[in-house]
Amino acid sequence: MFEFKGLDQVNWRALRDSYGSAEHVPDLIRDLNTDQDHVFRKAFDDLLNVVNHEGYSITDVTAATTPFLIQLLDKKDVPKRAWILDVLINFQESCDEHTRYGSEISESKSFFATFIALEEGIEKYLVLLADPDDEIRALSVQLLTLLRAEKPNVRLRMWKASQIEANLLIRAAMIYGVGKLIGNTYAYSVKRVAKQYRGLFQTLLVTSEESLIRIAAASAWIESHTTFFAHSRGVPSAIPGILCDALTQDNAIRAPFELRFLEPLRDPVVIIERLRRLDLEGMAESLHANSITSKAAHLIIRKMLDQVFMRVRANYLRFPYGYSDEWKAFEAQDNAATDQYIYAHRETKFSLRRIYMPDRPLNEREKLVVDAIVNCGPFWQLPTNLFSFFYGLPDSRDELRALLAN
Amino acid sequence: MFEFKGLDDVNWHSLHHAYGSAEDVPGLLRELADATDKNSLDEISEKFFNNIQHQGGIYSATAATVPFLIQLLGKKDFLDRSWILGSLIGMLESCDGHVNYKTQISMLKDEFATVANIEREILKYLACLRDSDNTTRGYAVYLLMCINPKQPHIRLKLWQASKIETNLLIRAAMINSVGKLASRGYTHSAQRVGNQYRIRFQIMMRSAEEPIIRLAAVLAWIDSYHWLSGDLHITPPDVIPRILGESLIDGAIDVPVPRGMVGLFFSESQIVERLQRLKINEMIAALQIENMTGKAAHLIIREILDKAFGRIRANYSKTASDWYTQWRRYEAALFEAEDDQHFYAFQERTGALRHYYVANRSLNRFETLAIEAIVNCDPFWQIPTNLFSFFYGLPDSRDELRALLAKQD
Repeated sequence: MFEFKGLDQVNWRALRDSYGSAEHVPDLIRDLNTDQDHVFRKAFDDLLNVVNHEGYSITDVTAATTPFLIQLLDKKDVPKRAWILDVLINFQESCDEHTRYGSEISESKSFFATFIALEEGIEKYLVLLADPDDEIRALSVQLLTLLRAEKPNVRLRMWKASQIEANLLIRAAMIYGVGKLIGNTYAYSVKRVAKQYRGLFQTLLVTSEESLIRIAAASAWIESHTTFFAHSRGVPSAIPGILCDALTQDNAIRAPFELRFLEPLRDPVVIIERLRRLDLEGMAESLHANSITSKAAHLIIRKMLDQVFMRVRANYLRFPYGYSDEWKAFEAQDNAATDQYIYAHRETKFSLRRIYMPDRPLNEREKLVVDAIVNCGPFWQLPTNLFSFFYGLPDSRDELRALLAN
Repeated sequence: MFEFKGLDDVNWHSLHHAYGSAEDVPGLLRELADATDKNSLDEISEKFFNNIQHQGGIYSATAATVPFLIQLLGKKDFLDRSWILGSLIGMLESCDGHVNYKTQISMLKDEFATVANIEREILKYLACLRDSDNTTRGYAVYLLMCINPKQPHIRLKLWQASKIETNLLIRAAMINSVGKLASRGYTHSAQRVGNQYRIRFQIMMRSAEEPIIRLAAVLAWIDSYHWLSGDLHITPPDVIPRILGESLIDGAIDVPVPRGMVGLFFSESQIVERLQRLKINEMIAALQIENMTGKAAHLIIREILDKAFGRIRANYSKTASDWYTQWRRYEAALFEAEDDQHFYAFQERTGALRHYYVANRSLNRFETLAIEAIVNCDPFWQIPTNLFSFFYGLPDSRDELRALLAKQD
């Protein structure tokens, strides 16, 4: 018979939930101890309404309830075990969300307490990596990665689990998760470990037959670097092509359950951002991939152009994102006044030197980009006026060739 | 020689600060404790902070250092206890700052550990309220205010300390801090205690002879209503607007300020911030005191206008952390015409445009009240202004404003 340990040792009366005193919360938790589906559903709804009101509120009661939700993961006959992991993931996402929006640290204590309570369950989530239920394994990977557990045994066990994982999606998630966990650790000793894992990812890049696994390994390789800056040296030659494959393939991850965690592997915006981290050489390399389509080529070339030329058209993103030099950030409703503003802002920032002027010779990086564009056949299958519109460059392939020859 | 308890039990090697391993921290702490003159203390403390709080950074070594800094508070012959409290305040402020730019809660572990270690020793800061040094007592009050603890005995101790405090500024700060701490807790019992303190503040704001104590009681009363939130939504005692208005007059609350405490308590902006939490008619009452000056009138009228009208000029904070809608936050150098357009577009999207004054629109009750008070405030017109047109599109001259009011009739 399953029993919650320590439920009566918490001073629930001293805690406050969304509706007042949390005295009634232990009873709501006890109601979860059932094997009847409809009873569990109701009890779960009632509890969440109190401890995580409307799916985002995090209070001291959330932190106090978390250990008991984690205990419930041990109970094999819980009707909806995946719901529990899903809720724990939601708690963690709410904590991160709260941190993103900023507040005083004294106002963030419940969030941190909840995070610490979630961390306490790491050992249990690791055990769930071997659970027979696909969804449970997938959600465990997601939760472990979101928690950014720094302990070496977490990434090691996740890596080992990936080697025996039968479900392709979950295996990809595990590989990707290992890369993310390494990238979140700043300790000096981890650098050596990271190098070893990157070696393992590299092997997967060339040996795996599954495209999704190659994409996961390429993404993990990039994510395992803590810095956001570009890496021009030591990039495995297969990575640009694999990321290009990811851009050209069907974007939907088909899973019988929600696996938000894998979305970044196929999200064009995220893939392009990863390509950016490979620097111009990596991006130019990806244009040579066999699988390249004109649409993918456009996405990559936009990014390359943004890396070397300053846009002459508006690219001002309003609150709360600040400034962005991204082509994708362009909004048609931005008007001449916005352009002027951007231009004036740049002038003060000494960044005008990056704006292309007809009489100015191209520098080496600009030449590299224009050269890659001119030689990318698929790109020219789609008409474009975006060279002139955004950068004041000529729009036709021949004119660009002539520019290079000059 | 001072002996730190447990200093060698910490695995400093596994911790880090701005320059790598924290192995050097125990040595620096011992040097701090043994400093025999102010110069050497300054020298060591600079090196120490360059490591554990480099440019406001918080590291694992910062959190681990806190208990030992607090132990130093107990060293009777330590050269400058206020330095320790000031350092802890600096750490707390850095931790708050980091919450604003770190994006994942797991990245805030060192910050939470630092805050937890600082909060653990509240009793030691309470003991500092009896220190012979003014600055140490003042910093102790400020630190307790930053920590903002819930426990009832802390506000009680502060209140008791305020009764025997001889330095006027620190006494006032203690009273104000009791108000802030009384705002903590949403339980019925906390609200009852809040009511009891508010009665004391009311008595004090009416009976105290010293203007700064009256002001402190007013701020405490206001702050006791969830001091971080906006409008009060409650009618304050009638003396509050008057005392706030009087306090804004130059020299009204001048008292000797202990070393290192300039601007810490009762600054002009802190007073204006509280004023802004009142309703328009209460703010007008602040304007109508007998000896109102032009400068103080401008400060109050800015707030009245900001409450009554939507601004048409930029008040967009480029740091993207906040939308500043306060007149006092406007910095001419930061904004250009294009910013205004962006701001206007944002206001349009959020439906805030109805607060904008447009030439042929009739004024509502609050706007009429505000303009009437401004037109009738003689001291205000002693200083020329074009801010009505600049910020709100209103006419700038007193006669035009009068005509605008007449049109409403």
